[in-house]
Formats: sequence, C-alpha cells, structure tokens
Amino acid sequence: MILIKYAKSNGAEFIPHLDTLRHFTKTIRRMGIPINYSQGFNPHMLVYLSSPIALGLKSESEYCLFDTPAKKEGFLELFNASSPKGIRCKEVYEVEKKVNVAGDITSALYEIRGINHFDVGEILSDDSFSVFDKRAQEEKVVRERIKKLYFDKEVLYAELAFGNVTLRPDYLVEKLLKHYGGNHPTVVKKEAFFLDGLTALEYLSTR
Amino acid sequence: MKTLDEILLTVERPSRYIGGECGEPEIKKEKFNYCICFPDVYEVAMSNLGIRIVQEVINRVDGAMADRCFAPWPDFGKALKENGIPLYSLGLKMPLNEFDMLGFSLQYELSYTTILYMLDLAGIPLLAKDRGQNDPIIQGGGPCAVNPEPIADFFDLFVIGDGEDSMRELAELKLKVTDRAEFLQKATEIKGVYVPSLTYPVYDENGNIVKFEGKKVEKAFCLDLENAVFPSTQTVGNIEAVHDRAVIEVMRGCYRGCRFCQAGFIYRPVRSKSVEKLTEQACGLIRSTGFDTLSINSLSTSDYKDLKPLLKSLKENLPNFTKVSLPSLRIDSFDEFYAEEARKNSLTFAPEAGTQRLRNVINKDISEEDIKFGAQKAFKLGYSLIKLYFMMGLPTETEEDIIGIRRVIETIRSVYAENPKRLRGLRINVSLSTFIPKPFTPFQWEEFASEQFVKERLEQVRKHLFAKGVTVSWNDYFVSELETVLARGDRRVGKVILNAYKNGCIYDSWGEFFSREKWDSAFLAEKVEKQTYKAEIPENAILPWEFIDVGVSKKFLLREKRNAMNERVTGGCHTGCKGCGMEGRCTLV
Repeated sequence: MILIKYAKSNGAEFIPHLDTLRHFTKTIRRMGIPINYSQGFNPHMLVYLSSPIALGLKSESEYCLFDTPAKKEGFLELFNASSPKGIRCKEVYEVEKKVNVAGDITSALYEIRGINHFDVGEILSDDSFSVFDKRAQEEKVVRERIKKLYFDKEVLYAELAFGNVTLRPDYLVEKLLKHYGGNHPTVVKKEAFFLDGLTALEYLSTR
Repeated sequence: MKTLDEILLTVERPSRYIGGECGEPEIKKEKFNYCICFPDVYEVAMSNLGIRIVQEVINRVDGAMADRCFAPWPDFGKALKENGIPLYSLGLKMPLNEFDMLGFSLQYELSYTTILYMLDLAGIPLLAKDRGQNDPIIQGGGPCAVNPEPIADFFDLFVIGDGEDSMRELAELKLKVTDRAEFLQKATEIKGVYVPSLTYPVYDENGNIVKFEGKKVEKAFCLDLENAVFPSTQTVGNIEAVHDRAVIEVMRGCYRGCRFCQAGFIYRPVRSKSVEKLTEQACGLIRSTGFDTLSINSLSTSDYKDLKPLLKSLKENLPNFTKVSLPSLRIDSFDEFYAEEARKNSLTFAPEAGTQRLRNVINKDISEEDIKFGAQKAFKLGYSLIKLYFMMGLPTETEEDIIGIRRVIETIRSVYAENPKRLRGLRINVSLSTFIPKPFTPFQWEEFASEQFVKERLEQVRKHLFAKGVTVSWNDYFVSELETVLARGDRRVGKVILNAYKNGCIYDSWGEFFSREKWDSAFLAEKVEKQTYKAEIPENAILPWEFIDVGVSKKFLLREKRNAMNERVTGGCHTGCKGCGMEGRCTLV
C-alpha cells in the first residue's frame, strides 16, 4: 500500500471532500497503476482519505492511502503529473498494513496570520475557554482541544485537536478576532499529526 | 468590500468559480482573445460537448485563444455585484469585458435572461447598439440560433449551424480586422454568420413581417465529421458535472424525421464517424481524463450503422474498468447486446404518443409490437423500472390518445407479468411534456395548446393514467408556454426578455427561479401578446426565421405537414431519400 502526504491549495481547497475522493480515483486511473477494488455488487476503488477539513481551508498536510501493489519509486512524479494542479503529492511511504488515516490523525498545526498580537497565556490558563460552534449553534468549551498556541513574530501557530474530536480553526479565529482584533485573517493547515503528535515517519516507525 | 477569496468562502460550491481543473486547455493571452460563455451553472456547462469543440477550434488558430466562463449561481452573482468584481473567465481569471469576443452557447430558450445576467455582471452594455469599439463582440451559436430573432438586439452576430469551420474563419477574420463595423460587415461573408444590424425584418402596420432587408443567411455545415476538429482531452470538473463522463460524438443529425423534433431537422444531413476514429478518440479521452464511463452520444445512437462493431472495438481497446453508456436508445432497435453493456436500473422509452394514429401523425414509426418486443427483452435482462416519455397537445390529439397511453402501460404490464424472472414489482414512470412547435419543423405553423386545453388533458390523465406502480409527472404549463414564445418569437420579444431580466428573471429553466408573475408583467409592460406567438401561423405568413436557410426546404416541411394531417408516415432517411432539400450535401444519397 502507498501512503501519501499531499497539499490541497491553489484553488483545490474549495473542492469538497467527496469530490476530492473522486479526483483521487481519476488520478489513479490516469496514472495507469494497478489498484484494488472492494468486493461486492458495486466495487469501488480502495482509496482512503484523512478526515475532511473545512471547505476553503488551504492545507499543506493531508494524507491519503491507496490499496495498491505499486511501489514508492516514481510514484510522486507520476502522481503530480496526473493530478489536478491544486492537489500536490509531497511525500510517499510504502506501508505493509493499512493505516487508519481517518482515525489515527488526531491533531493539526495551523498557521494563522492577521490576528493582533496577544498574550497566549490568557487562553492557555483559561479552562473554560470556549468558541462558538456555528454548526451546533452553541458556545463550546474547547480548552483541552488546544494542544499548543504560540506566536512566532506576528504569526500565530495553533495545534488543535483533529479527527473524532476537533476544533475548527475558523471558530478559534473568529473568537480571537473578536477579542484581540485583526485584519482579514487567513489560516493554513501546516501539519497533520498522528497519535500524540507524531509525524508520519515517526508514526510508521512505531508500528 | 470583500475580496474574491473571502466571497468564495461564503458561497455555495465555490469550486465552480476557480478553474484549474485537470485537463483544462492551456492558454495565455493572445492577439485574439475569445471566451466561450455558457448561460447556466458550472455542472450543466461542464457537460456540454459543443463548447468544448468551439474552444478547441479557436485554440488551434495561430494568435487566438479561447477561455471559458459559466453563469454564476445567484449567490455568487450577487456577491460579485455587491463587491464590484466583474465576471471573469475560469482559465485566466480575466474580466469578460477585456476579451475581444464572447461566444454564448444557445442550448435552450429558457437561458436567454441568464445571458443578460452574465453580460450585466461583466459590465458590458446589454444592447448591441449601445456597444462601442472597445466592448467585446457578442456572438451566439448553437441550436437556438436557428431562430435568433428574440435575442437579436443583444447580439452583434450569430453563427448558425456547425461551428467547426465558421468559428475558425471568424477568429481568422478578427485577427486581421480590428475595426468593429468593418469586422461585422466582412463577417457576413462567412457562411453561417448572421449580423442582426445588417439583416433585419420589415414589418407592416399590423405587425406582420413583409420582407427582410440585407443578406440572407445560409447555415454553416461541417460535412466531414470524421476529420472534424475534436478535442483530444476533456476538462474534468472540480465538482461532479451533470454528465460526469467522457463523451464521443458518433453521429451528428438523425435519420428519423419525427415531425415535432427540431434537432431532427436542423442537424441534417446525418454524418457519422468510423469505428476506428471513434475508438481512437474514446481511448484518448479515457486515458487522459480518468473517467470510468464513456458516453456514446448522438441524437439516436442505435441508428449508428456500426454500433455492434463499435461496442466490440471499445470493449477490446478500452481499459476494462470502463463502462459504456448509451443514451437515446430507440425502443424498436433495443437489443440485448446493447443493454448488456449498460446499467440495469432503468430503461427509457419515448413513444411520444399513445396511439398508432398519433404516432403516424408525428412520424414516430414505432408500433405497439415494437414496444412489446423492447419490453420483453428488457425484462428478460432484469429491468424493473421503465420510463416512458409522452407529449400532450400534439396536432390532432384527442382523449383517445391519452387512453392510448394507458394501453401502452397495460401492454408493458402484461409483458412483465409473463416474465418468469421478475424479482420486484414493476414500476413505470410516465413523463408528459407539452408539445412546443419549433422553427424548421413540419409543425412550425401549429398552435401551442391553451391553458384550458392542458387543464382538461391533465384531468383525463388523472382519470386514465393514475394507477398503482405508475408515477406520472408533467412540466409546468407556463414554462412550456414561455419556451414557445421564445422559440417562435421575433424581434419584438427581445424587449420582453430585457424587461423580464430587469424584473429579476434569471435561470428560468430552474423551477425554483422561474417566475410567471415577473414574465407576465414584462409582457404587459412591453405590450406584447403571448397569444401572437402561441397561435397557429398561416402558411403564407413570412416567418421571423425565414431569412435563414438551414438546408431543409420549406416545400418539404409543408409536404410533411400535409402527411401529418393525413396520418401518413414518411419514415426516416434510412428507408430512402425523402427529398428534404439536403440533396448534394447529404452523404446518404
């Protein structure tokens, strides 16, 4: 099997999750590599994506697993030559058993620009820190979903829970904008981490 | 004011507006910049083959490029307007008003207000007479261009007929001639080109057309379909298109000559491609797009004479994941072999009329036996959902013909009952559409049914067709009525379209946006009677579209009209030449 890390930007951040999956199946067919299909009445290509991110959020770190006998060599180049411009493969790993890309990715690091500088300690020390969840239409206490929060010069970095328990960065940004002010803030997902903050390489070496 | 990126975060399906798709033509700014415009939403536009061909034709011309732009959904259109962002193309993200020419695809009459909406969002004057030297030339083409009169005020020129040669010549001319007036004048020398400011009707005091001033227009033909320009790849939509598959065109035109069908006349003569060429094009498309479905398109694919060899060749040459889809199968040529290839969920048959008598009137030579046969084969293969298409309001139609639809349903049911293989209950979906008399058909002079008439028909439909396992649906009367007026209209209808647009009408083919009230008030304000365009037209009247020669003679259309009234079947071109006027161009004779 092949696990890839890919970037979704340059317009592709506006492609919804299911359509992204459709693009992957088309890319695989364009690549002309063998791939396994599910059994059953309507076989589908065995392609697994990491959990969906918010529409419009640029990401430099998404993961996708292909159930294919194909090898790592040349995969990245062939993939990028066959994929829509906004979906770029960055790393390729050959894995022996299935990686739970949806379940085992548990946090993500976001780069947030355009929020005025503030003391992050105010939030980190506030156990009742909450954001407004637009979907649920209610205020939610999310302090333990914030793993890290720090400034590097004017750029704010936030490592937030992702997957089954999630904190959407746009909800956080909304709150920060309201409290501390800013100017047209933008968010980019820089890194996705596996169990307890591991990179893909670290995670794969533990298995 | 919001930036484009911020707007994209707030609208439905933002990937409609970003371009960058896989397989998108590679373009850069050239001396002649053309933008093909489709007046409907992304998912619909991305399914259209015609605009892809035109784009390819222009892109192959040295010094020319073709970009594309589709109608924004109302939420995005509103946001563009509010934030002062002009409508832009998908490829280069260039404002539409910076192009040299915009080409609108005219696929259905109900898209006319959406054209004005796109021009408006681009900041381009809606009326041709208000445009100046620096505005783009606004061009129209596609099936509705055979009667361009209702939208003539909005366009600088139309290309009528096949675009393969005419669009290339137009691009080449524009590269040479920059002056607007001179270009329009010279363009009339290209076959198929109609410039509404140079050819126009003259009315008498009663509003009847007495003559046309200026040059008559001859439809453009691409007779060598085999070697015609065809794009080697297809853009794969960012989001799923309505027809999310690779498409090859096996034939242009149709042998059948069903008297209500405009496409059956305006796309004559029938031309087809060879099995080798089609296999090559299909393999190229599947390889480069990654689609897993190939659609074999034409007006009547089962009439393609080499269909069996084609399917065999496709099976042998395409990757084995490829599914082949065959739209527009005819009931009488339905064959197990074809249906084996297709998906087994539902099967569509279009008898169009309930009785043999009425089918004779419309020259749809399908018999009760054919329907029985087709159904038997289908059921043997395991189908249990049958979709049936019928029309109401056809010339000479009576209640008997509605009862006839019931008989067709009963026939299909009894066939199903005999079938030992039935796993589940039979379901029959009946779709009824109101007959619309269209230009260049033998029925072009016929009246469009009145509201009262359709009401009575629907009563009869309720009485005769409502039954267990049968679902009946029909179109909104007023939508069909508007389509009639727009299809058979003359230049006076243009004012109504403009008024309706200013009233807020866009996306009229979308049920949720169609507003009868707004259209009615537009007709009222412009003092145009719908009835003028719905009523029967005397045979000696000069028709608004009569300055166009599509190749089918008026004599033939009149003869076909008489045959219809005498309930006489003429049959199709495959049973011998019927003398439609295409002699000399038609390869069948």
